[in-house]
Amino acid sequence: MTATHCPYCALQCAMEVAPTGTRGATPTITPLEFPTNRGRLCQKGWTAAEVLTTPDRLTSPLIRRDDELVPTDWDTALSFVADTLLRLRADHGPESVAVFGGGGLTNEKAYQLGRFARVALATPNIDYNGRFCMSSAAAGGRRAFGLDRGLPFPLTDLDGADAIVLVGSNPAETMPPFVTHLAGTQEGGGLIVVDPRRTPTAALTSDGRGLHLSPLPGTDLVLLLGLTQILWTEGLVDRDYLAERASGVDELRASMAAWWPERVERVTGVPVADIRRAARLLAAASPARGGRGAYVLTGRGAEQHAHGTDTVTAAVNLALCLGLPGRVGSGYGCLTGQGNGQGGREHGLKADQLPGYRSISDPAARAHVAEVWGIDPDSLPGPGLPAVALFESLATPGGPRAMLVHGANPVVSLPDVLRLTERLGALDLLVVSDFVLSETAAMADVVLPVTQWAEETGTMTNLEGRLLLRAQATEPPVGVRTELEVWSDLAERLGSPIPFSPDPAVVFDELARASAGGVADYSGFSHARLRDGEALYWPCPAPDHPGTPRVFLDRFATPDGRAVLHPVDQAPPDDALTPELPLYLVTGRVLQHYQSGAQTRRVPALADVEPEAYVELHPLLAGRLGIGAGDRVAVHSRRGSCEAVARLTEGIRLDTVFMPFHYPDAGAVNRVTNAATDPISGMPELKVAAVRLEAIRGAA
Amino acid sequence: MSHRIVVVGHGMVGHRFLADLAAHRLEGTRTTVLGDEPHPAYNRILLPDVLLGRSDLAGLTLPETPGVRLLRGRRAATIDRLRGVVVDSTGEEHPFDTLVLALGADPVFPTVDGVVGADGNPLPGVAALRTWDDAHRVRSAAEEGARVVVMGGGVLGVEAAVALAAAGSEVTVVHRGSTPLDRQFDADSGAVVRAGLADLGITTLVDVRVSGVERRRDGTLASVRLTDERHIPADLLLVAIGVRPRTRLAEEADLGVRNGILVNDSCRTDDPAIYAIGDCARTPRGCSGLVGPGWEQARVLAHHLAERISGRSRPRPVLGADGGVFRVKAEGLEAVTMGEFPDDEFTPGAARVLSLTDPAGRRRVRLAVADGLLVGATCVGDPQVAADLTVAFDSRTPVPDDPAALLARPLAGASAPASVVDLPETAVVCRCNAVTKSAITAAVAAGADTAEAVANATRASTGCGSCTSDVCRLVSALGEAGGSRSLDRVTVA
Repeated sequence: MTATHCPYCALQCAMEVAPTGTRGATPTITPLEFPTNRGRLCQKGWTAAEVLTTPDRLTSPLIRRDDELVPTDWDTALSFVADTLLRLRADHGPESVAVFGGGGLTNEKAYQLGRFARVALATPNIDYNGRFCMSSAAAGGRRAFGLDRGLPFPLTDLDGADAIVLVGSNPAETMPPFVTHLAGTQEGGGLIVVDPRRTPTAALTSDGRGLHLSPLPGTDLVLLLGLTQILWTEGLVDRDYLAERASGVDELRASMAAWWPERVERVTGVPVADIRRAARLLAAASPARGGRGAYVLTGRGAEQHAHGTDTVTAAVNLALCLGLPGRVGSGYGCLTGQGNGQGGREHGLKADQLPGYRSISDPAARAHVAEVWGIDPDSLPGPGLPAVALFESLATPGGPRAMLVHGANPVVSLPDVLRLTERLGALDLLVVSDFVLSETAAMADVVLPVTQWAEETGTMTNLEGRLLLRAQATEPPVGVRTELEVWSDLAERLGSPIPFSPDPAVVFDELARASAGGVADYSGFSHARLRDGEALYWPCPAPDHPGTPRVFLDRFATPDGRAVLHPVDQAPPDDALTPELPLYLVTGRVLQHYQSGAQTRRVPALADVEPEAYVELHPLLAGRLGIGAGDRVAVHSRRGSCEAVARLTEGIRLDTVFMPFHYPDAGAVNRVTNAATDPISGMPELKVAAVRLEAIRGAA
Repeated sequence: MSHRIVVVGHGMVGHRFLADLAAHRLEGTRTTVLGDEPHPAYNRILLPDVLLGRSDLAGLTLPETPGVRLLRGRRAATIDRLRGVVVDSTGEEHPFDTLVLALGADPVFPTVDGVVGADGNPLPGVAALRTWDDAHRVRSAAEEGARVVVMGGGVLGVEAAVALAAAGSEVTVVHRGSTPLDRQFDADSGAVVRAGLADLGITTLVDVRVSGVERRRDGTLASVRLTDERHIPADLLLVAIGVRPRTRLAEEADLGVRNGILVNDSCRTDDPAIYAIGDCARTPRGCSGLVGPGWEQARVLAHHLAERISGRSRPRPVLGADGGVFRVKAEGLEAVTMGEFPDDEFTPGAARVLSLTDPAGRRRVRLAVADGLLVGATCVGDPQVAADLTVAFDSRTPVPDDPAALLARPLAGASAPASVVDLPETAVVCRCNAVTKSAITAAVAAGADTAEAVANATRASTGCGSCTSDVCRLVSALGEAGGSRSLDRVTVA
């Protein structure tokens, strides 16, 4: 029996994994008491062990021969990969190789993959799927506070709040045990949910437990401006706090005057009375007005837009005007999605960053990391391209000709996926490491079978910035290797100037040293401290440092210690509605599936509940389009089309339809989504697209 | 040599034009702005908030556009078109290559005795609500318990009346039409508005005009006299009967003027170097008097000038479909109107007009649909329907087959949800673990007699926990039905 954490979302619920003793049999899972999940699990967690023993588990490397993937041995696979990479490097330079990582990788793997790309491959071209997840929140947080830690406070702090506003977040579906932390706020009627749909989370506001605001898709930013404007005109701003802890107050205030409530109503479709009620509710909960505390929390609904960073900034500005961040019992936070979305963005998977959340363009940061790695700082590449631009550059003149994919399934998760998958298909070499034949692996020239969560040891940084140990609980199947082992071997074959350890504890100790002095300082952490059960939050600059459950209490991580109020203005969705494309499509998640569904679609209990792509629409819209419940429907946008089964619900706006994104092939909603990106974060506009719907006649 | 732009007027539209022009980042331009008020640019729309005591000038102030020479408290006295020069009230000359007139409009005062002086300015006890100084004056006159007569039951009059009443004044609206807001709203809607005003303690007198005022010996206002010879005791007469475009400067410069400075679709006057935008301008589509169309004009003009001055084409601004939406900004009185209604509601094939009238519920909704789109709507007293209609009108999203569905919010969640005991066996009770009612029934039949036992058997309630009470209820009901002992423990692992 091993105490560990769930393989899925950033809540990282604690659980015990008990192997049955028979090799190949599915271990049993029992939830454990832990502050984030409080002994609870959703169906994904309860059934997580089934992925370990899925019948189509890969146990041998695959190599493409005559357009077919056939089993081969490790040596053949790795020497083919190494030889091809060396040839490409010789012919086209090191930039001809690209790496794409994932926010589910452990800190050790995220760190080592960044090191592998920059030293063993010597390429700047590395990015990861967190670009589609947390990049806008990260950019917004750093712009305001100088530091991005999803929740800069322990999750349990939410329990005592009088008001919580969730902007574009649906935790009742994405991380169900999180909901227990909303109970206290619901009791007092203080839960505010901003979502165009009446999601299970929005339904938590019913019966007087709060307020559901349902804006037109793509207008969260304007709604946030409206809430902030009301604080100013009604004298509800915490002026003492702003004077002491923020800069840019006058500029921010001046930018608010143009967003009076009636104008906000006209853009968002949220009635003025509701906007006022929400603003007053938040203000009453704020410490300045004697409340027990308030929180502003954002999720992907607010962030996955071509102006996601500005939307996050508008949310931060609201929180600052209420005097929340950096106070015990109040604050701003974003709800990280992927299991290690937080750690992944701190340790070098991002195109422009080095471990410790350091900028790769900063000479001091380069010198520090190069010294830890034992290389010449000048040999470190500079910043690479963010994900969408990286995929657009594949197999173009001067662009990468090979790509290594770890912990990601871009063939399902990329925006405008048909166009970008075409780039992937044009590569000289695609190498995918996975434990099943994901849709991306199925396209690869070489597939490497690797271990998964319970079969390896590593650390995860959860949505609170708390470091967790996920200890090995079961034996991996014969024939698979850890990714650390893969990189260790490949680095040697590539003639890397430095070795790559396959041992996670050794890798972690180096990560800790590399992060020392950085924003996300892990230098005081070790596997040993985690085994002893310490609750450790970064930054933790020394082995005897207790870690930092709450950052910002004394100062923000900006040069002058003040948070920066950065005025932002309206920006409509990139995709305009037209008579031909008169509806907004929003995308999201269902409870039973995680990300691209490569894991959860293989668990029968989950796939039975949510077997296929669906499109949710209002019965009145369905009636006009001649669509009945259960009909097959084609969804068309400027990019392409996908298909889904109609589900009718009154809990959605008449002008909006919804699809989950977990499904491949014809059911892939990303065939219609928009790859327009945020100018600051590189986040694509996954959340909103202009579409039309059409019933597919004669379909079974 | 740089291109010299002179903007006369620093109201909401003039200010917006400067920001839009700055966004084009033109090289080699020099911009000078004359603003007749001594204040920075501010949001006129929010002046009723000042009456409520909710906002001060700083709260209304708009951000300054950097790189612009702003001269506050200076009027333009004359335009010398031959020399290309504007002369301001201090005598300073401002040469221009391009002149933009954003002069705005003046409030209209009635031509009855005792309201305005020989200089055209209001006499003591009389005010309009157009500028910050006006708002300030009204605010100091209308102290707690003051008696205010608002002349004019249009949008501004109604907004001011509601704000003043909320601030504690005793307010009477005098309106010459038979219902308030009758320029934009039909009579039935206006009647509901009138009743809504009465609910807020505001008296609305209709079909009557102000014929004069009575003053005390010291010159202060005593009462307002109406055309039906009634006298309404009053400490303040607030005049809100409309505005008149400021055109004198243009007229004296021999520019074409007819109820506004005449401009084409690019906002150009008959002089190719002179443009006019906002309330002072009359485009081929007329004068709207609203800020939305004024802002669109500012954007179009900034784009036009950027192309002309740089000599390069630029991406065309995306214009909002500003069909004109009138929204009354008054807390406690929701009223909005937009678009147009057909003259004859009975013509087949023309727009369909539907309405819902609920006077006692203080609600009235009327809408017109043509070719599957909302082309006109009026909504009083239903904030959510009003917001929905406004967005559907602006974004031109298709309406349901039967537009009657738009008259009230669809009934989602209106009926109380059925008790878990009455749900069908196939219903999902625990979403987090996809546990159906039948699975729980089976677990109870197999001996699980507490919620905890059911949780252990089915995982129901072990996720977010929201269904715990439903599971308890179900176990209890099933237990009673089966005669086994009822639930005593409800905690869950």
